[in-house]
Amino acid sequence: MNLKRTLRVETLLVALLVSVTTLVLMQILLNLHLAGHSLGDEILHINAASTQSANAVTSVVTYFRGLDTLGEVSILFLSIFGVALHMPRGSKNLFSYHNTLLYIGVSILFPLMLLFGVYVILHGHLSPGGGFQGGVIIAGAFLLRFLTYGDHYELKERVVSLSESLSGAGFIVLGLLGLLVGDRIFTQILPLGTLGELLSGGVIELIYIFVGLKVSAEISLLAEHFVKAHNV
Amino acid sequence: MSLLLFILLPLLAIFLMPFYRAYLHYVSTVLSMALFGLALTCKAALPLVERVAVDLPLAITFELSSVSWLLVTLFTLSMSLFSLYHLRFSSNKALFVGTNMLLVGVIGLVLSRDIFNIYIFFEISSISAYLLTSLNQDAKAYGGAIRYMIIGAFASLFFLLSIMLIYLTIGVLDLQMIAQRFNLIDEQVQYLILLSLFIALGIKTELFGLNFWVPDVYQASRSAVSGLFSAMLSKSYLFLLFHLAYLLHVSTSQMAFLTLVAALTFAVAEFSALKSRETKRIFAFSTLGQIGLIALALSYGDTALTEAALFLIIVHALAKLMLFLALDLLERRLGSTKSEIFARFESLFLMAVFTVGALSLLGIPPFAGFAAKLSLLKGLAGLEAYGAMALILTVSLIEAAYLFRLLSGFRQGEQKMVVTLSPLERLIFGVMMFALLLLGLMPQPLLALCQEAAQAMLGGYHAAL
Repeated sequence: MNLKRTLRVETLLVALLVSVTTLVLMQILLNLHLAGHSLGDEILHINAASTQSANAVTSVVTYFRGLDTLGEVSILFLSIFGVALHMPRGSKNLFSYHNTLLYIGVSILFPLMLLFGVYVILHGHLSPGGGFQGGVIIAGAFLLRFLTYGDHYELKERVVSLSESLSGAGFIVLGLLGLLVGDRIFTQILPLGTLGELLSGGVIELIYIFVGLKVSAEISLLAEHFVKAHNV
Repeated sequence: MSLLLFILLPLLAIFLMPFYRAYLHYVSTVLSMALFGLALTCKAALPLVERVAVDLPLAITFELSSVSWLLVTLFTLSMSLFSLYHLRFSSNKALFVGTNMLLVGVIGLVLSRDIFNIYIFFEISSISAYLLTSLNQDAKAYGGAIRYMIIGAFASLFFLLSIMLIYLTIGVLDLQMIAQRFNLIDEQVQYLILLSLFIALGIKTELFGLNFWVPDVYQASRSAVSGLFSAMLSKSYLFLLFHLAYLLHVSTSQMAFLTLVAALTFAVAEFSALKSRETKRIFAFSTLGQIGLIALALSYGDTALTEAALFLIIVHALAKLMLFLALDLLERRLGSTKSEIFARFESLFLMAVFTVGALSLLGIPPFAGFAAKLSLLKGLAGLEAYGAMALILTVSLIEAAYLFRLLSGFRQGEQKMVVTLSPLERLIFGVMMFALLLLGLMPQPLLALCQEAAQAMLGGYHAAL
């Protein structure tokens, strides 16, 4: 076998460059002197007083770094908007499984998954989960329906569009209200409640409801675009 | 007044889009003009600092300094002109989302003082740019968008690597706090962070060696969109690159490296423009050349040169937006952007637009480009950087060669198509030409603003060196 013919010089050079860079990186990273303290310590210190949320990760995502989350929601919206723009929906479902077992299973699972999604969203400030995770679980329930009902099932575009639009706007209005009432975005305009209870965390729960609604609408829409992709 | 309004209002307008789907072009115009007005009203209160949610070290800080004000005003003005130009077309959902998200992204990049928050805006501006590149939905557009997405993913990767290293070794995300502690970390890690930032922002700023993708992306995009990239996107990353360089007090040798890269960007791009026969590519190479020139001035870390660079940023953004919008108009009428189209149309007004834009880019008096290049050369003379001066003057000759070759097309061709402009189009182009002339005849007020901005941008950079 002629090595020159199988491996081009450029490929070998790139491989060499990547290997050397990886070794240098590894050497630096293995000898890294970590910072004595990080923001995590500070957050744990003030979390209870500022949010009364039992889940400090949620406090970071929705309250301390709420603006980043709004940005992430916008990135998700933009990405799915791009997919929808370039992958128009056809009428034919490409993944129809006419299977009675699947039909019965999904009929039972669908409401349970919706309920579980809502539970994960509403308990985001108490346990692992939240708007993103719950939203994806709800979208998963709709994906199962697409697979089961084939061409006979489609999302009501107006409902999806409205829930996506209003939840995104709600998230921003909450931020604007915070600016109006206090001097900061996402000021705690609601009572903080008691740590560990369902009604606690102030605005955190509302933020996660908006995020959950938006994510579920967008990921469901994405799933529909993939299963009904036109011209595939 | 909250600085977050610059971010929240466009986002709110985008999310509420289903309620006014048929009027998106009007909403975009009103919104961008309102933001431009908002930016103007902020001038009296500078510098504005705003903390999100909690206090430092946890807070995300937004800062409107003299320099970020100048850029926010430029971006909102560019977006207003772009939206006004699109008023006569029907409402376009993708254009509305893409351009307004791009506005959110670039404003966030210059306002935010938190490295992770900057990354969020980095992604918003990148994804909206991919979306805008693919608007034409043809093979060329998809090719350009995919290429842009792949190179953009590399930029994101290196930016994230630098954030990870910063957070692991310094433990904070606020730029001011990072700057205070940066010199205390291991020197090797410092180099790695700076290298990652250079690669990430070098790709986005379109610097030599990392800008091979730019002409294809500009060519794949609609001409008007390329104008927006040239006026807003590249300028915001250019600011970010040098803002971080000054803040982290990079050494003189590292700055010298940036000078070299900038000089190469300038020279290679202008030579490439000379070889090209496609107007959009020529303008794209010209943009790269001007970015190189601006980066060259910024790389000296000198107040006079930074002032000249900021002036050039504004002048170039206006001239290039005007040229790309005029090219968009021609592309829609003649269906091509090859340089031969200059011999195929007849419109005194459009000829004037192209001539004023080209002369301003070249730095011919009495247009604004002359004042910009003059202050740049004066600044370089003050530092006795005669090599850089010679380079600028020599490469400007090449710039003159391809721009005059382009303009000479007006005199060729016999059967010409009469292109008429609507009163609104005449008003938009008229305002832009007048601005370029006015800034050329009376550059002092804007130069004074740029001087203030230069001092804010450099901060304690000199003292540290």
